[in-house]
Amino acid sequence: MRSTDAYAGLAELVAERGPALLATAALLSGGRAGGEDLLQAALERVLRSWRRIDGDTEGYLRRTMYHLAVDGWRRRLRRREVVGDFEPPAEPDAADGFALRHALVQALAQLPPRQRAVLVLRYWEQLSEAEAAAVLGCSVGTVKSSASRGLARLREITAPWALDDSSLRIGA
Amino acid sequence: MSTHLEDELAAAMREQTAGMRPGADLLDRAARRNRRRTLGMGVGTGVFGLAAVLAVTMTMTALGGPPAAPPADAGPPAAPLVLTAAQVTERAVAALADDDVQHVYAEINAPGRGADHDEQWYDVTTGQARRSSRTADGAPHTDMWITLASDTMTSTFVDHSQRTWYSFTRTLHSVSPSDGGRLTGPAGGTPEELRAALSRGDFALVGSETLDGRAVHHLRRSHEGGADDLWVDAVTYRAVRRDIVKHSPDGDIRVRLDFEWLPRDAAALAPFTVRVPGGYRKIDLAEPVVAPTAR
Repeated sequence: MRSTDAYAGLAELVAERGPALLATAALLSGGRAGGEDLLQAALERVLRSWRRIDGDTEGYLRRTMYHLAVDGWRRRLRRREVVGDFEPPAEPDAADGFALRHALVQALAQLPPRQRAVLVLRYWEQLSEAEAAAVLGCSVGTVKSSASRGLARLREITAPWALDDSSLRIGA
Repeated sequence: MSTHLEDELAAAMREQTAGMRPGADLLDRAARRNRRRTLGMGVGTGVFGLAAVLAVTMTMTALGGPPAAPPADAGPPAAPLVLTAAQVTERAVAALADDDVQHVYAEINAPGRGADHDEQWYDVTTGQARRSSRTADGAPHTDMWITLASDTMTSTFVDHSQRTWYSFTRTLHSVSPSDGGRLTGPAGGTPEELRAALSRGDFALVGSETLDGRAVHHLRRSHEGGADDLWVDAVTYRAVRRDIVKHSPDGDIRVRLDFEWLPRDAAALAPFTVRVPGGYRKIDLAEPVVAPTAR
């Protein structure tokens, strides 16, 4: 029988790392509310599997979030995030950087789950392609192709902002 | 080598998630859902199910959650605690589809102005609205009625401090687009506005609470410009209260809306009948209108 304080580490983890975990979950699910749901669902899995978790609880929790996000958690929850239309202002000014980045995150939410997860791992978690592949349990080639397709789609969606490698950065 | 798009994407992720914090009872909610799942499994799994229930109950205790059996004098019935933000949001949106009459108490606190209190009624079906204000000692201060016809909007305003009233009618195409499509109803509290706010999908579930003896779910949205708190009834999912805080250079502007949803019967529709007290002088709008005296 486990001692009653056997789970104390989990409460402390959530208290200390909750904001970072929620940020990741929100990016994976496309919104704050969905993020909290995803994080809660992942915590349920952690509680369920507590006996099997050895050591890196946060790592397990993060991997669980990614797997849930990619493998149909959303379908079971039947949660539809509302993503509004986004258009650049007629006359961009220095304040539009925020609007562009808001549009990028909105566009991110429209990507297929695996592409979104790969972009979050690569550009939010700053993981290498090999590390991202390890988290998702897929090949490095899959990570590369998903990232490439995801970025291409983001570039396409934000094309009205004329954002490319050579253009002036709006708001920079 | 990163590109501008990748740089902007990374910056966007940082900006859009800055300041996010999970609800204080997130882990408790996860444990409760897990417990419910395990209880469900336990029904069909005999001794092993019972062992699982006991194990999860111990987990709950370790996590600081409530005991498995509530105390006998628990007070008002607690709201179900196993819902997600998404589920509460969806049910709250669905509950807005009814055609009840809205009765709203509004309190507005603006820097340098003190508190303003209004009582408002809004008929979702016809768009009719009434707004009444009172002085600090409870005496009637102003009354305003808005009635919509097919292509006209009639506003009637009664100033109890001046004992005057006036009325005018505009054709609807003359209403400015800056009205934002919201012609009548409590600002920030009409079903359309509540639906729009909920449909943004960025409310987090703070938890289940008791508000004036009523079991409610508390939703919150924080953003750069302020915060938005919404409480919905745990049974009907109708809005009970909305608190809006907007930061301004002079200080925070705070709006509190307390909602009642009345069946659309004669009593609920009675406040929309324009009533001007006898002896009040009708103002010719060609003459300057004197603003009501301060409350």
